[in-house]
Amino acid sequence: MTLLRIDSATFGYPGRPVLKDVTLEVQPGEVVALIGPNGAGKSTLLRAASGMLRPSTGRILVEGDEIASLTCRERARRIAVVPQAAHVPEAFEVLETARLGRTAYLGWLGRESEEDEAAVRDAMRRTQTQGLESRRLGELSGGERQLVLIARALAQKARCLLLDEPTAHLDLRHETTILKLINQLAHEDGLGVLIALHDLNLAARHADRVALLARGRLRGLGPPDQALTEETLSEAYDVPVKIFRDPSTGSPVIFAASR
Amino acid sequence: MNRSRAPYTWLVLALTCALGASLGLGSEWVSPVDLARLVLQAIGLESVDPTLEQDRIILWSLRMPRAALMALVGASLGSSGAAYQGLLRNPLADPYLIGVAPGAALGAAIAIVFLGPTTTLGYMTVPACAFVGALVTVAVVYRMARVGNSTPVTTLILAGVAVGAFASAATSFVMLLREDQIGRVIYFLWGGFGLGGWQPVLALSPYVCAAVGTLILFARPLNALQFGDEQASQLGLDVERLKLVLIAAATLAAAAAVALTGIIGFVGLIVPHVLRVLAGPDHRRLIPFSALGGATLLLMADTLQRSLPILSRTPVGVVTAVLGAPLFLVLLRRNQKANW
Ligand SMILES: Nc1ncnc2c1ncn2[C@@H]1O[C@H](COP(=O)(O)OP(=O)(O)OP(=O)(O)O)[C@@H](O)[C@H]1O
Ligand SMILES: [Mg+2]
Repeated sequence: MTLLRIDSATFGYPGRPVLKDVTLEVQPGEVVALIGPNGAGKSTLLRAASGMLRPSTGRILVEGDEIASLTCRERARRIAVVPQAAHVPEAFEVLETARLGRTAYLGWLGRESEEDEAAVRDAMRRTQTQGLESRRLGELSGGERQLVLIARALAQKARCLLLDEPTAHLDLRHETTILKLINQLAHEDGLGVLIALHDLNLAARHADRVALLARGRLRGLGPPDQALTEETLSEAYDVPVKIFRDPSTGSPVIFAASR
Repeated sequence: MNRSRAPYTWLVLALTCALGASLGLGSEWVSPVDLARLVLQAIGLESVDPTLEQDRIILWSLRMPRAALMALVGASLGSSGAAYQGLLRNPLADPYLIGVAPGAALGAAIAIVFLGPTTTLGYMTVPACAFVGALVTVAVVYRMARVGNSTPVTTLILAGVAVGAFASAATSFVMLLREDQIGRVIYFLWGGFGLGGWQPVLALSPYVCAAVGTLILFARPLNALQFGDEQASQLGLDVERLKLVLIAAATLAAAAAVALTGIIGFVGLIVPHVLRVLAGPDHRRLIPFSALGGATLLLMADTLQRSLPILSRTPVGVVTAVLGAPLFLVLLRRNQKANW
Protein backbone atom coordinates (compact mmCIF):
# COMPACT_ATOMS: atom_id res chain seq x y z
CA MET A 1 0.00 0.00 0.00
CA THR A 2 1.16 3.53 -0.67
CA LEU A 3 2.37 4.89 2.67
CA LEU A 4 2.11 8.55 1.78
CA ARG A 5 0.29 10.09 -1.14
CA ILE A 6 0.32 13.80 -1.82
CA ASP A 7 -2.34 14.31 -4.41
CA SER A 8 -2.19 17.55 -6.47
CA ALA A 9 -1.82 19.51 -3.25
CA THR A 10 -1.30 23.26 -3.03
CA PHE A 11 -0.12 24.76 0.22
CA GLY A 12 1.73 27.61 1.85
CA TYR A 13 1.36 30.21 4.56
CA PRO A 14 -1.20 32.99 4.82
CA GLY A 15 -0.44 35.39 1.97
CA ARG A 16 2.50 33.28 0.81
CA PRO A 17 1.77 30.35 -1.46
CA VAL A 18 4.77 28.01 -1.40
CA LEU A 19 4.01 24.95 -3.52
CA LYS A 20 1.41 24.43 -6.19
CA ASP A 21 -0.08 21.24 -7.48
CA VAL A 22 2.40 18.74 -6.05
CA THR A 23 1.78 15.05 -6.62
CA LEU A 24 4.15 12.64 -4.93
CA GLU A 25 4.00 9.13 -3.49
CA VAL A 26 6.16 7.26 -1.04
CA GLN A 27 6.03 3.47 -1.22
CA PRO A 28 7.20 1.05 1.46
CA GLY A 29 10.88 0.25 1.08
CA GLU A 30 11.96 3.36 -0.76
CA VAL A 31 13.91 6.49 0.05
CA VAL A 32 12.62 9.59 -1.69
CA ALA A 33 14.84 12.67 -1.43
CA LEU A 34 13.39 16.16 -1.56
CA ILE A 35 15.85 18.58 -3.10
CA GLY A 36 15.69 22.17 -4.17
CA PRO A 37 17.18 25.57 -3.40
CA ASN A 38 16.73 27.27 -0.02
CA GLY A 39 13.18 28.39 0.41
CA ALA A 40 11.87 26.09 -2.30
CA GLY A 41 9.48 24.53 0.17
CA LYS A 42 11.10 21.28 1.28
CA SER A 43 10.34 21.83 4.95
CA THR A 44 6.91 23.17 4.09
CA LEU A 45 6.11 20.03 2.14
CA LEU A 46 7.25 17.85 5.04
CA ARG A 47 5.13 19.88 7.45
CA ALA A 48 2.12 19.35 5.22
CA ALA A 49 2.91 15.66 4.93
CA SER A 50 2.97 15.34 8.72
CA GLY A 51 -0.37 17.10 9.09
CA MET A 52 1.02 20.35 10.52
CA LEU A 53 -0.16 22.38 7.54
CA ARG A 54 -3.37 21.85 5.64
CA PRO A 55 -3.25 21.98 1.86
CA SER A 56 -5.64 24.55 0.40
CA THR A 57 -6.46 22.24 -2.48
CA GLY A 58 -5.65 18.60 -3.08
CA ARG A 59 -5.30 15.81 -0.56
CA ILE A 60 -2.71 14.15 1.61
CA LEU A 61 -3.31 10.48 2.29
CA VAL A 62 -1.51 8.35 4.85
CA GLU A 63 -1.90 4.64 4.26
CA GLY A 64 -5.05 5.47 2.34
CA ASP A 65 -6.65 7.80 4.90
CA GLU A 66 -6.91 11.56 4.64
CA ILE A 67 -4.40 12.91 7.16
CA ALA A 68 -6.81 15.47 8.64
CA SER A 69 -9.26 12.67 9.47
CA LEU A 70 -6.76 10.85 11.70
CA THR A 71 -6.51 11.51 15.42
CA CYS A 72 -3.18 12.88 16.61
CA ARG A 73 -2.33 9.51 18.11
CA GLU A 74 -3.18 7.56 15.01
CA ARG A 75 -1.22 9.99 12.85
CA ALA A 76 1.86 9.64 15.05
CA ARG A 77 1.65 5.87 14.81
CA ARG A 78 1.79 6.08 11.03
CA ILE A 79 4.17 8.99 10.46
CA ALA A 80 7.27 9.90 12.45
CA VAL A 81 9.14 13.15 11.91
CA VAL A 82 12.72 14.27 12.50
CA PRO A 83 12.49 18.06 12.24
CA GLN A 84 15.07 20.45 10.80
CA ALA A 85 17.29 22.21 13.38
CA ALA A 86 14.84 21.11 16.05
CA HIS A 87 14.37 22.99 19.27
CA VAL A 88 15.23 20.71 22.18
CA PRO A 89 15.01 21.37 25.92
CA GLU A 90 18.66 21.13 26.91
CA ALA A 91 18.18 19.65 30.36
CA PHE A 92 16.32 16.60 29.06
CA GLU A 93 18.13 13.31 29.10
CA VAL A 94 18.61 11.12 26.06
CA LEU A 95 16.68 8.09 27.30
CA GLU A 96 13.67 10.18 28.33
CA THR A 97 13.74 11.87 24.94
CA ALA A 98 13.73 8.57 23.10
CA ARG A 99 10.87 7.39 25.32
CA LEU A 100 8.76 10.31 24.15
CA GLY A 101 8.57 8.44 20.85
CA ARG A 102 6.08 6.16 22.60
CA THR A 103 3.68 8.98 23.46
CA ALA A 104 1.12 7.79 20.94
CA TYR A 105 0.97 4.33 22.51
CA LEU A 106 0.66 5.10 26.20
CA GLY A 107 -2.50 4.71 28.22
CA TRP A 108 -3.88 7.57 30.26
CA LEU A 109 -1.67 6.79 33.22
CA GLY A 110 1.35 7.18 30.97
CA ARG A 111 3.14 4.02 32.11
CA GLU A 112 5.48 2.39 29.57
CA SER A 113 4.76 -1.26 28.88
CA GLU A 114 7.36 -3.91 28.16
CA GLU A 115 6.60 -3.42 24.46
CA ASP A 116 7.26 0.31 24.74
CA GLU A 117 10.56 -0.28 26.48
CA ALA A 118 11.55 -2.82 23.82
CA ALA A 119 10.76 -0.35 21.05
CA VAL A 120 12.87 2.32 22.74
CA ARG A 121 15.78 -0.05 23.30
CA ASP A 122 15.61 -1.20 19.70
CA ALA A 123 15.54 2.38 18.40
CA MET A 124 18.53 3.33 20.52
CA ARG A 125 20.45 0.27 19.38
CA ARG A 126 19.76 1.06 15.73
CA THR A 127 21.00 4.61 16.16
CA GLN A 128 23.88 3.57 18.43
CA THR A 129 22.78 5.97 21.12
CA GLN A 130 22.66 3.47 24.02
CA GLY A 131 25.93 4.84 25.35
CA LEU A 132 24.39 8.31 25.64
CA GLU A 133 21.36 7.27 27.72
CA SER A 134 21.83 9.52 30.71
CA ARG A 135 23.45 12.48 28.94
CA ARG A 136 21.56 15.76 28.72
CA LEU A 137 20.57 16.91 25.25
CA GLY A 138 22.40 20.20 25.76
CA GLU A 139 25.63 18.31 26.33
CA LEU A 140 25.58 16.40 23.04
CA SER A 141 27.24 17.24 19.75
CA GLY A 142 24.98 18.21 16.88
CA GLY A 143 25.41 14.79 15.29
CA GLU A 144 24.64 12.89 18.49
CA ARG A 145 21.56 15.03 19.05
CA GLN A 146 20.34 14.27 15.54
CA LEU A 147 20.79 10.55 16.19
CA VAL A 148 18.74 10.87 19.39
CA LEU A 149 15.91 12.55 17.50
CA ILE A 150 16.06 9.77 14.93
CA ALA A 151 15.90 7.25 17.77
CA ARG A 152 12.81 9.01 19.10
CA ALA A 153 11.20 8.83 15.66
CA LEU A 154 12.09 5.14 15.28
CA ALA A 155 10.54 4.40 18.68
CA GLN A 156 7.26 5.60 17.18
CA LYS A 157 7.27 2.44 15.04
CA ALA A 158 5.66 4.36 12.21
CA ARG A 159 5.91 2.93 8.73
CA CYS A 160 6.55 6.30 7.17
CA LEU A 161 9.52 8.40 8.22
CA LEU A 162 9.96 12.08 7.35
CA LEU A 163 13.36 13.67 7.89
CA ASP A 164 14.25 17.31 7.34
CA GLU A 165 17.95 17.71 6.54
CA PRO A 166 19.13 15.22 9.14
CA THR A 167 22.73 15.53 7.96
CA ALA A 168 23.06 19.31 8.03
CA HIS A 169 26.18 20.39 9.96
CA LEU A 170 27.35 16.81 10.39
CA ASP A 171 30.81 15.46 9.67
CA LEU A 172 31.45 12.78 7.06
CA ARG A 173 31.24 9.91 9.48
CA HIS A 174 27.94 10.94 11.06
CA GLU A 175 26.56 11.78 7.65
CA THR A 176 27.39 8.30 6.38
CA THR A 177 26.09 6.61 9.53
CA ILE A 178 22.76 8.36 9.29
CA LEU A 179 22.25 7.83 5.58
CA LYS A 180 23.26 4.18 5.83
CA LEU A 181 20.78 3.71 8.66
CA ILE A 182 18.06 5.37 6.61
CA ASN A 183 18.78 3.10 3.68
CA GLN A 184 18.64 0.06 5.94
CA LEU A 185 15.35 1.18 7.40
CA ALA A 186 13.86 1.45 3.95
CA HIS A 187 15.41 -1.52 2.22
CA GLU A 188 15.50 -4.01 5.08
CA ASP A 189 12.67 -2.93 7.37
CA GLY A 190 10.38 -1.74 4.61
CA LEU A 191 9.80 1.78 5.87
CA GLY A 192 8.95 4.54 3.44
CA VAL A 193 11.29 7.49 3.84
CA LEU A 194 10.86 11.05 2.63
CA ILE A 195 13.99 13.05 3.34
CA ALA A 196 14.86 16.64 2.57
CA LEU A 197 18.50 16.96 1.61
CA HIS A 198 20.62 19.92 0.76
CA ASP A 199 23.50 18.03 -0.72
CA LEU A 200 22.69 16.90 -4.25
CA ASN A 201 25.46 14.32 -4.23
CA LEU A 202 24.11 12.69 -1.10
CA ALA A 203 20.67 12.65 -2.65
CA ALA A 204 22.04 11.14 -5.84
CA ARG A 205 23.91 8.46 -3.96
CA HIS A 206 21.43 7.49 -1.27
CA ALA A 207 17.94 8.03 -2.63
CA ASP A 208 15.90 5.66 -4.75
CA ARG A 209 14.06 8.60 -6.19
CA VAL A 210 14.53 12.33 -6.00
CA ALA A 211 11.89 15.06 -6.11
CA LEU A 212 13.16 18.44 -7.24
CA LEU A 213 11.28 21.48 -5.93
CA ALA A 214 11.88 24.91 -7.37
CA ARG A 215 9.96 28.09 -8.00
CA GLY A 216 6.77 26.86 -6.38
CA ARG A 217 6.44 23.56 -8.17
CA LEU A 218 7.66 20.01 -8.39
CA ARG A 219 10.18 20.24 -11.25
CA GLY A 220 11.37 16.69 -11.56
CA LEU A 221 10.69 13.28 -10.05
CA GLY A 222 12.41 9.98 -10.66
CA PRO A 223 15.55 7.92 -10.08
CA PRO A 224 18.57 10.19 -9.53
CA ASP A 225 20.27 9.56 -12.85
CA GLN A 226 17.12 10.43 -14.77
CA ALA A 227 15.77 13.30 -12.68
CA LEU A 228 19.09 15.00 -12.04
CA THR A 229 20.23 16.50 -15.33
CA GLU A 230 22.50 19.44 -15.90
CA GLU A 231 19.69 21.29 -17.57
CA THR A 232 16.98 20.92 -14.89
CA LEU A 233 19.42 21.56 -12.05
CA SER A 234 20.92 24.64 -13.72
CA GLU A 235 17.46 26.04 -14.10
CA ALA A 236 16.28 25.10 -10.60
CA TYR A 237 19.32 26.52 -8.82
CA ASP A 238 19.93 29.35 -11.27
CA VAL A 239 23.61 28.54 -11.60
CA PRO A 240 25.40 26.44 -14.24
CA VAL A 241 25.60 22.84 -13.01
CA LYS A 242 27.95 20.11 -14.23
CA ILE A 243 27.49 16.40 -13.69
CA PHE A 244 30.21 13.76 -13.95
CA ARG A 245 30.10 10.03 -13.38
CA ASP A 246 32.15 8.70 -10.53
CA PRO A 247 34.23 6.10 -12.38
CA SER A 248 34.31 3.67 -9.45
CA THR A 249 30.62 3.67 -8.50
CA GLY A 250 28.90 5.09 -11.57
CA SER A 251 26.90 7.49 -9.43
CA PRO A 252 26.67 11.12 -10.53
CA VAL A 253 28.93 13.80 -9.07
CA ILE A 254 27.24 17.18 -9.19
CA PHE A 255 28.78 20.60 -8.72
CA ALA A 256 28.24 24.19 -9.64
CA ALA A 257 30.47 25.32 -12.49
CA SER A 258 31.88 28.78 -12.13
CA ARG A 259 30.51 31.07 -14.75
CA MET B 1 16.02 11.35 34.20
CA ASN B 2 17.73 11.11 37.50
CA ARG B 3 15.35 8.62 39.04
CA SER B 4 16.65 8.77 42.57
CA ARG B 5 14.02 8.79 45.29
CA ALA B 6 16.12 10.97 47.58
CA PRO B 7 14.31 14.25 46.81
CA TYR B 8 10.99 12.69 47.84
CA THR B 9 12.43 11.65 51.17
CA TRP B 10 13.93 15.08 51.80
CA LEU B 11 10.79 16.91 50.79
CA VAL B 12 8.53 14.75 52.94
CA LEU B 13 10.94 15.19 55.83
CA ALA B 14 11.00 18.96 55.36
CA LEU B 15 7.21 19.06 55.14
CA THR B 16 6.90 17.02 58.33
CA CYS B 17 9.26 19.34 60.18
CA ALA B 18 7.44 22.41 58.88
CA LEU B 19 4.13 20.88 59.92
CA GLY B 20 5.48 20.05 63.39
CA ALA B 21 6.82 23.57 63.81
CA SER B 22 3.59 25.06 62.57
CA LEU B 23 1.56 23.05 65.10
CA GLY B 24 3.93 23.60 68.01
CA LEU B 25 4.93 27.22 67.60
CA GLY B 26 2.84 30.33 68.05
CA SER B 27 1.72 32.49 70.90
CA GLU B 28 1.34 29.30 72.97
CA TRP B 29 4.14 26.68 72.80
CA VAL B 30 3.04 23.07 72.48
CA SER B 31 5.94 20.63 72.87
CA PRO B 32 6.52 17.89 70.30
CA VAL B 33 5.83 15.25 72.95
CA ASP B 34 2.47 16.81 73.76
CA LEU B 35 1.74 17.10 70.05
CA ALA B 36 2.40 13.40 69.55
CA ARG B 37 0.29 12.51 72.57
CA LEU B 38 -2.60 14.68 71.40
CA VAL B 39 -2.54 12.99 68.01
CA LEU B 40 -2.46 9.55 69.64
CA GLN B 41 -5.35 10.54 71.91
CA ALA B 42 -7.35 11.80 68.97
CA ILE B 43 -7.09 8.48 67.16
CA GLY B 44 -7.80 6.58 70.35
CA LEU B 45 -4.40 4.99 70.92
CA GLU B 46 -3.99 6.72 74.26
CA SER B 47 -6.58 7.60 76.87
CA VAL B 48 -7.56 11.27 76.92
CA ASP B 49 -5.50 13.34 79.35
CA PRO B 50 -7.62 16.20 80.78
CA THR B 51 -4.54 18.30 81.69
CA LEU B 52 -3.90 18.78 77.98
CA GLU B 53 -7.37 20.18 77.37
CA GLN B 54 -6.19 23.69 76.50
CA ASP B 55 -3.53 22.40 74.11
CA ARG B 56 -6.10 20.12 72.54
CA ILE B 57 -8.33 23.04 71.68
CA ILE B 58 -5.41 25.07 70.34
CA LEU B 59 -4.27 22.15 68.23
CA TRP B 60 -7.54 20.95 66.74
CA SER B 61 -9.53 24.11 66.33
CA LEU B 62 -6.78 26.63 65.62
CA ARG B 63 -3.44 25.31 64.48
CA MET B 64 -4.39 22.15 62.62
CA PRO B 65 -6.93 23.82 60.30
CA ARG B 66 -4.55 26.74 59.79
CA ALA B 67 -1.68 24.39 58.92
CA ALA B 68 -3.89 22.34 56.62
CA LEU B 69 -5.05 25.48 54.83
CA MET B 70 -1.50 26.73 54.39
CA ALA B 71 -0.32 23.34 53.15
CA LEU B 72 -3.17 23.15 50.63
CA VAL B 73 -2.61 26.69 49.40
CA GLY B 74 1.15 26.11 49.16
CA ALA B 75 0.68 22.86 47.27
CA SER B 76 -1.72 24.58 44.85
CA LEU B 77 0.58 27.49 44.19
CA GLY B 78 3.68 25.32 43.88
CA SER B 79 2.23 22.78 41.47
CA SER B 80 0.37 25.31 39.37
CA GLY B 81 3.57 27.36 39.13
CA ALA B 82 5.44 24.29 37.90
CA ALA B 83 2.71 23.64 35.35
CA TYR B 84 2.65 27.24 34.06
CA GLN B 85 6.42 27.34 33.76
CA GLY B 86 6.40 24.12 31.79
CA LEU B 87 3.43 25.09 29.70
CA LEU B 88 4.71 28.53 28.78
CA ARG B 89 8.32 27.33 28.69
CA ASN B 90 9.16 30.43 30.58
CA PRO B 91 11.04 30.50 33.87
CA LEU B 92 9.22 33.67 34.89
CA ALA B 93 5.78 32.20 34.42
CA ASP B 94 3.77 31.72 37.55
CA PRO B 95 0.10 31.59 38.42
CA TYR B 96 -0.01 35.35 38.18
CA LEU B 97 1.61 35.96 34.84
CA ILE B 98 -1.37 34.93 32.78
CA GLY B 99 -3.84 36.99 34.72
CA VAL B 100 -5.00 34.84 37.62
CA ALA B 101 -4.04 37.27 40.37
CA PRO B 102 -5.16 40.54 38.78
CA GLY B 103 -8.41 38.85 37.76
CA ALA B 104 -8.98 37.49 41.24
CA ALA B 105 -8.17 40.87 42.76
CA LEU B 106 -10.67 42.58 40.48
CA GLY B 107 -13.36 40.07 41.38
CA ALA B 108 -12.68 40.57 45.08
CA ALA B 109 -12.60 44.36 44.81
CA ILE B 110 -15.93 44.41 42.99
CA ALA B 111 -17.49 42.21 45.64
CA ILE B 112 -16.14 44.26 48.54
CA VAL B 113 -16.97 47.64 47.07
CA PHE B 114 -20.36 46.96 45.53
CA LEU B 115 -21.75 44.30 47.82
CA GLY B 116 -20.20 45.89 50.93
CA PRO B 117 -20.28 42.64 52.88
CA THR B 118 -20.89 42.86 56.60
CA THR B 119 -22.10 39.37 57.52
CA THR B 120 -20.08 36.16 57.46
CA LEU B 121 -22.12 34.95 54.52
CA GLY B 122 -21.43 38.25 52.83
CA TYR B 123 -17.72 37.77 53.33
CA MET B 124 -17.95 34.35 51.75
CA THR B 125 -19.06 35.96 48.50
CA VAL B 126 -15.69 37.70 48.20
CA PRO B 127 -13.62 34.55 47.65
CA ALA B 128 -16.30 33.33 45.26
CA CYS B 129 -16.08 36.54 43.24
CA ALA B 130 -12.27 36.39 43.29
CA PHE B 131 -12.48 32.87 41.96
CA VAL B 132 -14.86 33.86 39.18
CA GLY B 133 -12.67 36.87 38.35
CA ALA B 134 -9.60 34.67 37.93
CA LEU B 135 -11.35 32.16 35.73
CA VAL B 136 -12.94 34.84 33.54
CA THR B 137 -9.60 36.61 33.11
CA VAL B 138 -7.81 33.46 32.09
CA ALA B 139 -10.61 32.57 29.68
CA VAL B 140 -10.32 36.03 28.08
CA VAL B 141 -6.53 35.72 27.89
CA TYR B 142 -6.83 32.32 26.29
CA ARG B 143 -9.33 33.55 23.71
CA MET B 144 -7.27 36.61 22.88
CA ALA B 145 -4.08 34.61 22.56
CA ARG B 146 -5.49 32.28 19.94
CA VAL B 147 -4.10 32.83 16.47
CA GLY B 148 -6.09 30.82 13.96
CA ASN B 149 -6.51 27.52 15.72
CA SER B 150 -3.42 27.48 17.84
CA THR B 151 -2.33 29.30 20.99
CA PRO B 152 1.34 30.24 20.72
CA VAL B 153 3.15 30.70 23.99
CA THR B 154 4.34 34.22 23.24
CA THR B 155 0.86 35.54 22.47
CA LEU B 156 -0.40 33.81 25.61
CA ILE B 157 2.14 35.62 27.77
CA LEU B 158 1.58 38.94 26.02
CA ALA B 159 -2.18 38.62 26.36
CA GLY B 160 -1.75 37.63 30.01
CA VAL B 161 0.34 40.66 30.78
CA ALA B 162 -1.99 43.01 28.88
CA VAL B 163 -5.21 41.66 30.37
CA GLY B 164 -3.56 41.55 33.79
CA ALA B 165 -2.60 45.21 33.50
CA PHE B 166 -6.14 46.05 32.45
CA ALA B 167 -7.58 44.15 35.42
CA SER B 168 -5.19 45.93 37.80
CA ALA B 169 -6.22 49.28 36.42
CA ALA B 170 -9.87 48.31 36.75
CA THR B 171 -9.24 47.26 40.35
CA SER B 172 -7.74 50.67 41.18
CA PHE B 173 -10.69 52.34 39.51
CA VAL B 174 -13.18 50.27 41.49
CA MET B 175 -11.33 50.98 44.73
CA LEU B 176 -11.32 54.72 44.10
CA LEU B 177 -15.07 54.69 43.52
CA ARG B 178 -15.50 54.02 47.22
CA GLU B 179 -12.55 55.42 49.09
CA ASP B 180 -13.93 54.26 52.43
CA GLN B 181 -13.54 50.64 51.25
CA ILE B 182 -9.91 50.83 50.07
CA GLY B 183 -8.58 49.47 53.34
CA ARG B 184 -10.75 46.36 53.19
CA VAL B 185 -9.80 45.61 49.60
CA ILE B 186 -6.10 45.93 50.34
CA TYR B 187 -6.47 43.82 53.45
CA PHE B 188 -8.07 41.04 51.44
CA LEU B 189 -5.45 41.15 48.70
CA TRP B 190 -2.70 40.83 51.29
CA GLY B 191 -3.92 37.74 52.99
CA GLY B 192 -7.58 37.00 52.61
CA PHE B 193 -9.90 37.25 55.55
CA GLY B 194 -7.89 35.12 57.88
CA LEU B 195 -10.79 32.70 57.95
CA GLY B 196 -10.33 30.14 60.68
CA GLY B 197 -11.62 26.68 61.38
CA TRP B 198 -12.07 23.68 59.16
CA GLN B 199 -14.60 25.18 56.74
CA PRO B 200 -12.16 26.86 54.34
CA VAL B 201 -10.03 23.71 54.36
CA LEU B 202 -13.00 21.60 53.39
CA ALA B 203 -14.01 24.15 50.77
CA LEU B 204 -10.55 24.20 49.23
CA SER B 205 -9.52 20.56 49.26
CA PRO B 206 -11.76 19.24 46.45
CA TYR B 207 -10.43 21.91 44.07
CA VAL B 208 -6.85 21.28 45.06
CA CYS B 209 -7.14 17.51 44.75
CA ALA B 210 -8.81 17.74 41.36
CA ALA B 211 -6.39 20.32 40.01
CA VAL B 212 -3.14 18.86 41.34
CA GLY B 213 -4.27 15.35 40.38
CA THR B 214 -4.94 16.50 36.84
CA LEU B 215 -1.56 18.21 36.62
CA ILE B 216 0.20 15.05 37.79
CA LEU B 217 -1.72 12.91 35.29
CA PHE B 218 -0.72 15.22 32.45
CA ALA B 219 2.91 15.56 33.51
CA ARG B 220 4.26 13.28 30.82
CA PRO B 221 2.52 15.05 27.92
CA LEU B 222 3.79 18.26 29.49
CA ASN B 223 7.29 16.82 29.12
CA ALA B 224 6.69 16.27 25.41
CA LEU B 225 5.46 19.85 25.11
CA GLN B 226 8.94 21.04 26.14
CA PHE B 227 10.01 20.21 22.59
CA GLY B 228 7.58 22.76 21.21
CA ASP B 229 4.04 22.50 19.91
CA GLU B 230 4.92 21.04 16.55
CA GLN B 231 7.11 18.22 17.82
CA ALA B 232 4.59 17.42 20.55
CA SER B 233 1.88 17.15 17.92
CA GLN B 234 4.06 14.96 15.73
CA LEU B 235 4.64 12.71 18.73
CA GLY B 236 0.89 12.15 18.90
CA LEU B 237 -0.48 14.73 21.32
CA ASP B 238 -3.55 16.84 20.77
CA VAL B 239 -1.62 19.95 21.72
CA GLU B 240 -4.49 22.41 21.90
CA ARG B 241 -6.59 20.17 24.11
CA LEU B 242 -3.57 19.46 26.28
CA LYS B 243 -2.89 23.18 26.80
CA LEU B 244 -6.52 23.82 27.64
CA VAL B 245 -6.59 21.07 30.25
CA LEU B 246 -3.32 22.21 31.80
CA ILE B 247 -4.31 25.88 31.89
CA ALA B 248 -7.68 25.04 33.38
CA ALA B 249 -6.20 22.83 36.09
CA ALA B 250 -3.35 25.20 36.97
CA THR B 251 -5.72 28.17 37.07
CA LEU B 252 -8.22 26.30 39.20
CA ALA B 253 -5.50 25.47 41.72
CA ALA B 254 -4.17 29.02 41.86
CA ALA B 255 -7.56 30.73 41.84
CA ALA B 256 -8.85 28.56 44.67
CA ALA B 257 -5.81 29.53 46.69
CA VAL B 258 -6.17 33.24 45.94
CA ALA B 259 -9.86 33.11 46.74
CA LEU B 260 -9.24 31.92 50.30
CA THR B 261 -5.97 33.51 51.30
CA GLY B 262 -5.53 36.50 49.02
CA ILE B 263 -2.46 37.01 46.91
CA ILE B 264 0.56 35.08 48.12
CA GLY B 265 3.32 35.77 45.67
CA PHE B 266 6.64 34.06 45.04
CA VAL B 267 5.63 30.55 46.08
CA GLY B 268 4.51 29.59 42.58
CA LEU B 269 7.60 31.19 41.10
CA ILE B 270 10.37 30.10 43.44
CA VAL B 271 9.41 26.62 44.47
CA PRO B 272 9.29 25.06 40.96
CA HIS B 273 12.34 27.03 39.95
CA VAL B 274 14.44 25.78 42.84
CA LEU B 275 13.22 22.23 42.43
CA ARG B 276 13.96 22.29 38.73
CA VAL B 277 17.55 23.10 39.61
CA LEU B 278 17.71 20.39 42.27
CA ALA B 279 15.71 17.59 40.66
CA GLY B 280 15.72 18.14 36.90
CA PRO B 281 13.12 19.05 34.29
CA ASP B 282 10.91 15.92 34.40
CA HIS B 283 7.41 17.14 35.24
CA ARG B 284 6.41 13.74 36.58
CA ARG B 285 8.70 14.62 39.46
CA LEU B 286 8.62 18.38 39.29
CA ILE B 287 4.88 18.75 39.83
CA PRO B 288 4.53 16.55 42.92
CA PHE B 289 7.80 17.95 44.25
CA SER B 290 6.54 21.50 43.78
CA ALA B 291 3.33 20.65 45.61
CA LEU B 292 5.33 19.32 48.58
CA GLY B 293 7.81 22.20 48.41
CA GLY B 294 5.09 24.83 48.16
CA ALA B 295 3.30 23.39 51.18
CA THR B 296 6.56 23.40 53.15
CA LEU B 297 7.49 26.96 52.23
CA LEU B 298 4.08 28.36 53.06
CA LEU B 299 3.89 26.49 56.37
CA MET B 300 7.29 27.90 57.30
CA ALA B 301 6.33 31.41 56.32
CA ASP B 302 3.07 31.19 58.22
CA THR B 303 4.74 29.79 61.34
CA LEU B 304 7.31 32.55 61.26
CA GLN B 305 4.63 35.16 60.84
CA ARG B 306 2.60 33.83 63.77
CA SER B 307 5.53 33.34 66.15
CA LEU B 308 7.57 36.51 65.64
CA PRO B 309 5.89 39.48 67.30
CA ILE B 310 7.38 41.98 64.86
CA LEU B 311 5.65 40.15 62.00
CA SER B 312 2.29 40.01 63.70
CA ARG B 313 0.73 42.50 61.31
CA THR B 314 2.70 41.40 58.23
CA PRO B 315 0.75 39.47 55.59
CA VAL B 316 2.08 35.98 54.97
CA GLY B 317 2.62 36.85 51.29
CA VAL B 318 5.24 39.38 52.32
CA VAL B 319 6.94 36.77 54.48
CA THR B 320 7.09 34.28 51.59
CA ALA B 321 8.76 36.91 49.46
CA VAL B 322 11.27 37.78 52.17
CA LEU B 323 12.08 34.09 52.69
CA GLY B 324 12.05 33.11 49.05
CA ALA B 325 13.70 35.93 47.18
CA PRO B 326 17.22 35.59 48.66
CA LEU B 327 17.16 31.82 48.21
CA PHE B 328 16.08 32.32 44.64
CA LEU B 329 18.90 34.77 43.92
CA VAL B 330 21.54 32.49 45.42
CA LEU B 331 20.38 29.60 43.27
CA LEU B 332 20.16 31.78 40.20
CA ARG B 333 23.75 32.88 40.59
CA ARG B 334 25.19 29.51 41.54
CA ASN B 335 23.55 27.52 38.84
CA GLN B 336 25.06 27.89 35.40
CA LYS B 337 23.72 24.70 33.85
CA ALA B 338 20.67 24.73 31.61
CA ASN B 339 17.62 23.58 33.49
CA TRP B 340 15.17 23.55 30.64
N1 LIG C 1 6.05 29.84 9.25
C1 LIG C 1 6.15 30.46 8.05
N2 LIG C 1 5.35 31.51 7.75
C2 LIG C 1 5.43 32.12 6.56
N3 LIG C 1 6.27 31.77 5.60
C3 LIG C 1 7.10 30.75 5.83
C4 LIG C 1 7.08 30.04 7.06
N4 LIG C 1 8.02 29.07 7.01
C5 LIG C 1 8.60 29.17 5.80
N5 LIG C 1 8.05 30.16 5.07
C6 LIG C 1 8.38 30.53 3.70
O1 LIG C 1 8.02 29.46 2.86
C7 LIG C 1 8.99 29.26 1.88
C8 LIG C 1 9.47 27.83 1.91
O2 LIG C 1 10.17 27.61 3.10
P1 LIG C 1 10.75 26.20 3.52
O3 LIG C 1 11.23 26.31 4.89
O4 LIG C 1 9.76 25.15 3.20
O5 LIG C 1 11.99 26.07 2.52
P2 LIG C 1 13.07 24.92 2.44
O6 LIG C 1 13.03 24.39 1.08
O7 LIG C 1 12.91 23.97 3.54
O8 LIG C 1 14.39 25.77 2.64
P3 LIG C 1 15.78 25.36 3.34
O9 LIG C 1 16.54 24.61 2.33
O10 LIG C 1 16.43 26.67 3.63
O11 LIG C 1 15.47 24.58 4.57
C9 LIG C 1 10.09 30.27 2.12
O12 LIG C 1 9.88 31.34 1.22
C10 LIG C 1 9.88 30.72 3.52
O13 LIG C 1 10.23 32.07 3.64
MG1 LIG D 1 13.99 23.50 5.27
